[in-house]
Amino acid sequence: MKILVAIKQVPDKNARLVLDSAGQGIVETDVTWEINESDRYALESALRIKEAGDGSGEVVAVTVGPERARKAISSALAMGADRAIHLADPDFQNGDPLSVARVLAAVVRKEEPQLVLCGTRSDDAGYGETPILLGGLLGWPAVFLTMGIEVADGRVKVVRELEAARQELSSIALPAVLAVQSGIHEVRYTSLKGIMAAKKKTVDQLTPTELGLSREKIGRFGSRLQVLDLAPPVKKSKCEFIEGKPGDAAAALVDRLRRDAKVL
Amino acid sequence: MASPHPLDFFDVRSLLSDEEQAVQDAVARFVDERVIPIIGECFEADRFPMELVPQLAELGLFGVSMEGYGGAGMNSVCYGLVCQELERGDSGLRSFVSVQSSLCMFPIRRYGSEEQRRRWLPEMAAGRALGCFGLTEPDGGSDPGTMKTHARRDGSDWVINGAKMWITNGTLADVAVVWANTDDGVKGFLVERGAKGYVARDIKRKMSLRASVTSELFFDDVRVPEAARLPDAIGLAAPLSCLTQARYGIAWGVLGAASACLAEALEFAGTRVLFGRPLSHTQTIQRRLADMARRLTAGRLLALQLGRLKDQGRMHHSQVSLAKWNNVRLALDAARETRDILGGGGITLDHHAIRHMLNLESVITYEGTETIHELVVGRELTGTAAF
Ligand SMILES: Cc1cc2nc3c(=O)[nH]c(=O)nc-3n(C[C@H](O)[C@H](O)[C@H](O)COP(=O)(O)OP(=O)(O)OC[C@H]3O[C@@H](n4cnc5c(N)ncnc54)[C@H](O)[C@@H]3O)c2cc1C
Repeated sequence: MKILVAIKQVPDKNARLVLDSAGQGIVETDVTWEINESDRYALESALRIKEAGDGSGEVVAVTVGPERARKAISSALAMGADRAIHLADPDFQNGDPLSVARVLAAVVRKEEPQLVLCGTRSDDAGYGETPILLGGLLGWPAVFLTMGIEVADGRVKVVRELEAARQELSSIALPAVLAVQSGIHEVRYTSLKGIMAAKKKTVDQLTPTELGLSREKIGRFGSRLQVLDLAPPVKKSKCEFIEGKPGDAAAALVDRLRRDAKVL
Repeated sequence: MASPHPLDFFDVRSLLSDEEQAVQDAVARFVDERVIPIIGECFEADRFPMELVPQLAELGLFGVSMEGYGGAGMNSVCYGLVCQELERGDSGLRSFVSVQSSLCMFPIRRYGSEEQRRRWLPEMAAGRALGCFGLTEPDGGSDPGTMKTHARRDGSDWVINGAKMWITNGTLADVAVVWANTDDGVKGFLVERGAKGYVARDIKRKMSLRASVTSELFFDDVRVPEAARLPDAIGLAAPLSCLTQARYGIAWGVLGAASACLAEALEFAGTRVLFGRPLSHTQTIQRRLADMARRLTAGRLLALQLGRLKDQGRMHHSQVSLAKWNNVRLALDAARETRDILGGGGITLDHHAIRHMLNLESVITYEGTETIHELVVGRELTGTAAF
């Protein structure tokens, strides 16, 4: 089975982010980057499906991102993806979820995989919309918060995470788009041999023309969503000491947790 | 301009290729997730974590820079980074990998016959066969030229008699690379576990490298065939060339221990409030932290340039001596400083510093003591050996 995995390169979780002077993006110079967390789980899921198969499977990693995203591709190839597609053309960049989904849909039409795996949401922008929009554009079923995948006889059994620790099991016809939740499986360690092997794998670059996409539909020109302002969260930490006898203080604390914090 | 990273003040990481960074990241994740959570317990229990061996092999950490025979075939900087990340966990784990890779796989690859290579190297890369390296003897490790272990030719066999001391992985090893004097100079032999007359016994009561096995080896008329001799190893230069490889890894490895200590010192000093202010707000503590960062930064640059020289085929063994000496010393000092900054808590295994400190007491002694490395550099400067 051919599986396409959409990965996004995002700032390292521990990176110290500085807003640019326009307040609409971050200064990228000192940022270290990594593959978005839930995308790593999506890739792990794809590799497991391939390994459980008859050996004819293929895992193709695809990313929309500038030149620097090449490193994320290398990581995906080192983990075990067979080849990759890097959509680095400037016209693809800075899009909202819909314009990114349009680009991915064009790649899917060209590659014709049976399954597309994405992470649920990116750790930077955090929209969590791309996989669902992609399913919509393709006319494929799309599942959010996937916590289990089992492929059999042209269908896929999907476990979906619901509220209150409940899970839903459904059977879906292929082809489909699944948005994979972090934690679905343990993500494998990248081996040194994997890193060496990655150097010999193919990375294709495609242009909007090659994908039959016009500039107005993709990247920043295709975006309907416009970021007006970015600001760091305001720190509002307050420490309050509840005085009194232990019994009274505990009662007061419970009351505050119930009334103010609304956690009880 | 963003403030420099406390543990990599000159952003030495930016001098690494993407591939080198990927290697470092892969091993770092393994150490964070699999080593650091258990290593204090291992040290306390005087136990080498055997359960990690298959995982180390799967990551490809045995024979990192070995071409073919199951090695990863990466450059020396990658090997250095592997050592650095492992030793951020524990010097014992790094020692294990150093011995397997630099002291056993390296001589079999460099000096072994094709048959020896095929038999041992893929198994060793897969972690299914373990090795040890027997050079040091009870009477004076610094002066291996006077070794007493002797191999006598007997027909098509060799008969080995003698004893080796302080041998890492001795009782774990399936094969021992044993160096012995012969009537024709020093030669190397592959002695297999179970050979008649060959006994390995662990050294107990160690207060250092407790998460690593250290043994004595005894050879009482051990008979091995000529095919067990490393054919291309001629004279003392052969084992010394292995030590150069391992010392190279140590020069990198100890940077991991040093950075783990600096991280711990920074964390503690930033949160410990004494006399109404965090410890880190005092001048004497800041000077000590700054000094650790200064020396760690210099050590990183030294190790990287050493690696670049090695990859260009231009590394001289005295440069390895200088780097091992400098970096082990900075790491040991950083560990002792951190142990002290942590106060009473610093003497327990709830923190990492004392474990690193005790480990580094071995590291500064093995693979050539600090004094010996000073004397190697001195000999290079003056042209006179003063050992
Ligand atoms: C935990 C551990 C693991 C080890 N693993 C291995 C192993 O796997 N394989 C192996 O072969 N060996 C191993 N060794 C041995 C190690 O390499 C030796 O301990 C080391 O070379 C020092 O030898 P020694 O202990 O006999 O000390 P000695 O050589 O007796 O030295 C004693 C002291 O004298 C100093 N000294 C020596 N010569 C001079 C001089 N000319 N002038 C001034 N001072 C001098 C030394 O610096 C040292 O301070 C290991 C050691 C330890 C502690």
